[in-house]
Amino acid sequence: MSTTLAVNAILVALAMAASFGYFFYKVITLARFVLLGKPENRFDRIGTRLWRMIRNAIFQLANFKRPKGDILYAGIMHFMIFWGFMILLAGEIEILAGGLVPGFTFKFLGYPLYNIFIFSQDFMATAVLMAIVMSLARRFVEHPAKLNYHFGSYLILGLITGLMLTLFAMNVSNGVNPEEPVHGAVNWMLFAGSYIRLFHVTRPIPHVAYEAIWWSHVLMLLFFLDFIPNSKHLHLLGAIPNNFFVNLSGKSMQLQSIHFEAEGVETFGVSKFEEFTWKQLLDGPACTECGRCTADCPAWNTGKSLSPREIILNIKENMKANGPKLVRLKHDEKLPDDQRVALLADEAEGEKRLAARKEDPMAHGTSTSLSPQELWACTTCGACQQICPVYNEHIRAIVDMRRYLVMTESKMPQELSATFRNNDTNGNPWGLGSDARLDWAEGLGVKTIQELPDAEILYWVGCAGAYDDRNKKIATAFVKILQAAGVRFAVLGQEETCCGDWVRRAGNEYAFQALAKQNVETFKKYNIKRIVTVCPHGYYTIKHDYPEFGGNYEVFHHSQFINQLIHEGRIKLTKPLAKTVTYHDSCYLGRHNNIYNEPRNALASVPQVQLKEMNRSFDNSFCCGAGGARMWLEEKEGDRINRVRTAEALACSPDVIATACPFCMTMIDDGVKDKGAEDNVKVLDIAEVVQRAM
Amino acid sequence: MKILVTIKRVSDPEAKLKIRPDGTGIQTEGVKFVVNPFDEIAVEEALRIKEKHTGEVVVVSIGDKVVTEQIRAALAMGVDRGIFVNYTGSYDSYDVAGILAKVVEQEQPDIIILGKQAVDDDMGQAGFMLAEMLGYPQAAFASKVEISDDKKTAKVTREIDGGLETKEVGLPCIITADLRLNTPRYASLPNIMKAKQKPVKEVTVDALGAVVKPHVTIKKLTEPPKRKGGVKVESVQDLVGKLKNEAKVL
Repeated sequence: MSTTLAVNAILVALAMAASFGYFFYKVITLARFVLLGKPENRFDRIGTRLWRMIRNAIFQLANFKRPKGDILYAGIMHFMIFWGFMILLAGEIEILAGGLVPGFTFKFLGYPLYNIFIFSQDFMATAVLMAIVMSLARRFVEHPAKLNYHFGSYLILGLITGLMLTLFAMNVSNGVNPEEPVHGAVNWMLFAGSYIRLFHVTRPIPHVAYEAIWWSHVLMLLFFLDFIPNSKHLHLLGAIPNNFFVNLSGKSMQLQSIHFEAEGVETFGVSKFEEFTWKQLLDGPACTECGRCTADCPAWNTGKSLSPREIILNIKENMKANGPKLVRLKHDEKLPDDQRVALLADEAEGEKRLAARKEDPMAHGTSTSLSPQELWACTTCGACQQICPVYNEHIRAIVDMRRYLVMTESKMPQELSATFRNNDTNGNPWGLGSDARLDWAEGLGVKTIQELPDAEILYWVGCAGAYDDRNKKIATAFVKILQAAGVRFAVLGQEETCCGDWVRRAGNEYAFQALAKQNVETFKKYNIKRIVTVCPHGYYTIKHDYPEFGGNYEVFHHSQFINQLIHEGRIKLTKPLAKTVTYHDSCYLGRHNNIYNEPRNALASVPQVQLKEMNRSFDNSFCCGAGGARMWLEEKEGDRINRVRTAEALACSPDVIATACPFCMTMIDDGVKDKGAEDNVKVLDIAEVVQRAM
Repeated sequence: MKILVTIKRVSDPEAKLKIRPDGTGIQTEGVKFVVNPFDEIAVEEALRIKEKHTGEVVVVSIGDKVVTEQIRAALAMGVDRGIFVNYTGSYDSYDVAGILAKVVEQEQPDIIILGKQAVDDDMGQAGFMLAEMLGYPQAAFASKVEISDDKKTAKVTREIDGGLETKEVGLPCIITADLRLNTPRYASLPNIMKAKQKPVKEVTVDALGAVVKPHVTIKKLTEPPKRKGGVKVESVQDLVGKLKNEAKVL
């Protein structure tokens, strides 16, 4: 070996050692921060997890969740870059190994395999370059508001372009250099080979120039490696594991149960990053900053400061700010609060962020904290989680921080504290007398479970159906349907209380658990097995939250139940309704429970009804604005969510807007009145539409 | 700075009440009881004053053992300690003021805050009578309370027809809380847990040296008459006719 080659090999080894050393140091440091989180079991059902990871990450299906428009475009682009990198990785190993051991190539694989390798490298490098062009076109021409336009993003695109161009130049030069093994495989290079023929390249570039290109390629590669842990490209490391550790609980919000009996616990919920579970902390490194969550968020879209992406990213930034101090602590040592970067900011900070948002609607400020305004703006509609390609769980992070604000600090919007008090006393958020719970059913012949102990199903009326005047009519319509079908049903009457949905979503886990335990106890007392609800929130809570407290039931939403009654012929829809009906998907029915078709089928069973879909429907539906306890909070920031959604419904020129949720009913009904459209457009629950047709 | 707040256990304002057959009171079976909402506002205001000026907040309630539930609810909001005056006989506002005057003598608070009235019997007398018995200045129906930095005076605003009236009173004083003074806080969980450990002193009327001799006794309670359904009239003439002949208001 010549001295030059030896020096070269030593330099390569040093550069690699520095780069890999730094990379692994950063990665291990981040991993240690993540592992500061609380325990959570995400190691069950390994087979399913592996398959999910392969399907969604390796085969990239997670990028094609809604394969339309920008998401389809970006999905294709990402597919090319992802697989480009997977395949080009082999070539990079050859290049780096060749730098360490002069003359090393994969030629020992034998010609068929080596030719295929050369083909793949040339082909994928070109595909990646095409993806870069697509990406630049997207950034400069389409310019989607959801993207981050940081310098880092362009640096990454520049590095990838540089890597591909240098690779291409080396391939062209080696292709015409008889001393290089690639020379023999030049016909396998689709693009570099074509370039050689097209431009009649006959001689390799001068040795010095080649060396310069080689070194710039290697240095760019090593720099890129070190840039990964410091940029959004951290998702290269976080996203695939996050697809493995995905929430498989079958419930869209896998909220952690708090054990209030535990000794010595003085704070509840999360106010410090390490109080999240390790999985929640992995969400940050997994985030690709694609902004799909924020682009779909009803709060963000109506000018509020909440951006679901920043929920994930700010937690990550807080982890990076506090992590170094925490990992240095000895066992049993605690970091004093004044030495820590606070995760929860105050209202004043929230006002600042809101003002910044007003100034520049596209501004995405990443910081180390989250303000109460951001946390309280969430409707828990689940749009963010639905579209997230790395299956991040935004809602439970928000609920965990709300828990701290409500239970530990008792800091909350004052209308919420009044609603909690109402609910504590009378078991309904309106605070109306608990003994008036069955007043709505007067004269309807509804039996309580005490009067009809062998009822085939329990109708869980819910607070809205029992106390809200508009929703009482829906409860009445549903009762008439049940009676017409001859269903032997009963209600709990005064033994029914709040199901606890909004209480839990608002972070008041203590009050929620009391309600859940009380209701499970009541169901047990009457040996209840089957339950039907009109409210999707009660449906979700009884179905998905009560099993934690020993309550397992067959739960139906009234849309499912009515649809079944229609299809079994137990009710006959004879009166035509020659109207255009647009159906508004309830988040807790659709995204949170995958019930999209039953309400539509029930509506379509009414003779002459014309169903018309809104711009955003099914899993892309836009929230009414009332979920996650937002029903009880004033909407002071930005435009009102229900106005935006109502405008979208009215754009279909419907005669009827159909809802399947009491909260949606209130919000859309208000929206229609607000737009002055109540003379032309009726807002009806599907039960009312069906009952009118009987 | 020591603040004494009085709280009364009242039937939940939303509950449907039934009158006992003898007509002397309400049936308490199955009825929920809460802290009188105006008293909760008084507690909240006391806590806010304490948070700003430091000091101690003490609540006092009169009744049988069950009123300790309401005392605990106030402790959970952040009140430091409670005084439970165990008395099961009947009493009127004057007796209540007399008992409270004795508690004030013992405790020597700088400010006494009461709800402007209890929502069960709506008497609204105790605050005035207490001020009179103690010879303290009073500021009733407060919608805003500001304590001076030297803690010698309180500036109290109340809503009057078409405007606001602001008074300054020297401490110690009596303040009664109106609806818009504040929104009471929701007890935090650590405070709910701490409330179980906080001291509640039980005293009797005799030990306080108070005399209970009601001047007012309830003779009879009756339910309001049931509302009869309305009628729809066909025309304006019809309406005028009915107003003239049936209602006899025209």
